[in-house]
Amino acid sequence: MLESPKKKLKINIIPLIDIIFLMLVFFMLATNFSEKKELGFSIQKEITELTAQQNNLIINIIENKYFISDKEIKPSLIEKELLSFWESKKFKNVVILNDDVSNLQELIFLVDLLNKNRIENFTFSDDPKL
Amino acid sequence: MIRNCKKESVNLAESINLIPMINLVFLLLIFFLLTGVIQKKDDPEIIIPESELGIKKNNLKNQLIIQVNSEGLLKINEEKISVNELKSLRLNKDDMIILNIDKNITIKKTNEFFKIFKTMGLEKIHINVLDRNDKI
Repeated sequence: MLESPKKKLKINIIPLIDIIFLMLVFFMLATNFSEKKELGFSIQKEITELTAQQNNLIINIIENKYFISDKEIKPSLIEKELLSFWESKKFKNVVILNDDVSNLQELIFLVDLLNKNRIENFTFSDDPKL
Repeated sequence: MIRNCKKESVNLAESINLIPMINLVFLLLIFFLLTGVIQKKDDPEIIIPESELGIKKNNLKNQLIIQVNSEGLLKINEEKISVNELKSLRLNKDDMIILNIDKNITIKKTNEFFKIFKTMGLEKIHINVLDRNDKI
């Protein structure tokens, strides 16, 4: 009549699987692999401080295209061109001028190039009075 | 007959080995736990610019995140604000402004915002960027 004391006890693992699945789904949905980074812009420098001086290398961004000395430069070649101008040591500052329609991405692309080549004396403006 | 069917179904359930599946699910869980970063989802309207030289974010307390879409509309904490409301914000010099700005906004519009921040006494503005190397 009495059950034998040696009867095997079974652990029900189904709730454990449920919880693990829920956690997995949560992490799959909430996780972001592309981590955001920041780019700092100093806004204290006045453009007139730089432009009052001579020896400015002026880069124009017109309709999302880059121009140095009125010559259009392709994005793939701009780093090379920029460095050849900069290394001639005729220029002390870089001034980026933009029109009314060019996008921020183009400015960030140029700022990246300047920072990458350790050109720190640069400023940008849409002020046409130069 | 009925008894036999029941017996077969019980045997079938017992015969499925769940251990490899649990192992795999655990491995996936550990992978997502270790490699992923849990952060607030971005506004789907805003496509942030790409940059090669972005610096890893520091989560400081006195930072204010301002969302700016491609048309220059501003949002703070999911609430739309006007330019005048932005101008009337009281900020300290130590406050860190982070712009979650759309890459297709014009540079002219961005400069207008920079000028506003400058009049508010800020010296540096941070822009959220997506690491160009991370882009798949």
